[in-house]
Amino acid sequence: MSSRIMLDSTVFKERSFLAWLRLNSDRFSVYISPVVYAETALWYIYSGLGAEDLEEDLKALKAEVPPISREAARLAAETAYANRRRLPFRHHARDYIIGAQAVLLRANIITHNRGHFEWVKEVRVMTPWEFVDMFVS
Amino acid sequence: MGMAYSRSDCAAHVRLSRSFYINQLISYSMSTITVPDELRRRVKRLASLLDVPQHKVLEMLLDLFERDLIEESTPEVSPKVREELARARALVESEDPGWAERSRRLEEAVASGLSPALFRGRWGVELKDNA
Repeated sequence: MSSRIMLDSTVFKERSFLAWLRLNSDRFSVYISPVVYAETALWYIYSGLGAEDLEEDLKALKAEVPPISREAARLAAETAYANRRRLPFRHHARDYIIGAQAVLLRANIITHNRGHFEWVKEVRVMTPWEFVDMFVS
Repeated sequence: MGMAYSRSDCAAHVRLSRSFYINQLISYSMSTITVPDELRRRVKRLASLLDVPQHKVLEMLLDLFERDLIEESTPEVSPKVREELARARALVESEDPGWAERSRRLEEAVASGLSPALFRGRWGVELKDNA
C-alpha cells in the first residue's frame, strides 16, 4: 500500500489521529489539497485560532500542500462527468478536485465521507480509524 | 404470517394518524422567521406538492442538508485503535503545549457545533447563489 496519504478537511477535528500521524510522520507522506487548506484554515479562524495555527499543525505533520495542476483539474472534470448522476459537480466540486489530486499523487484518501469519493478506484479511501487499524493490527 | 387489514382498518389508521399528527402540531411551540418572498413561494409550492405543512418542508430540507453535511456515521473504533490514539495524544501533548492548546480550542469549537464539515465548500451552489 502507498505510504502517501491525502487528508480531507473533516479529519482535522480528530486531534488524537493527527497526534498519531505526527508521531508516525516518518512513515507517511502527508498531503492536503489547497481546497482542504482553505476550508480548514477558515474553520481554525472561526474557532478563534488563525491560519498560522494551521501552519504550525501542518509543519508538525510534515504535510505538503501541492498546487492543483491542470492535469488534476482535467481529471476532476472527466470523473465529474462520468459520475454526474450520483455525485453532481455542483455539489461535489471539492471532492472531485481533492480526489483527482490524490489519484495523481497515488495517495490514499483519509476522510469521514467515503461515499463522496466512491468514484475513486486507483487509491484507497479510508476513515482515520481504518487507517490506524491497518497499522496496529 | 402477516396480518391482513381491511379498507376500514386502513381508514381508521389514517384518521388516528392524522389526529395524532394534529395533536403533535398543537403541542409544538410555533414561531416565525422572515424569509424572502421567492423562498416563501418555493417552500409553499413544495408544501403543496407534498401535501405537508410548510414547516415540515423546512424540516425535511434540513434533514437532507444535515445528512449530506454531516459525515457518515462513524464506525465503532476498536479498543486497540482507541488505546493507540490515546497514547499518541498523551505523548504529543506532553511534549508540545502549543499543540495541546490548539487541540483544546478546536475541540471546544466542535463541541459548540462549529464542525469543520460546516466549512466544506459547495462551490457550485455557492457560485450560483452569489452570481
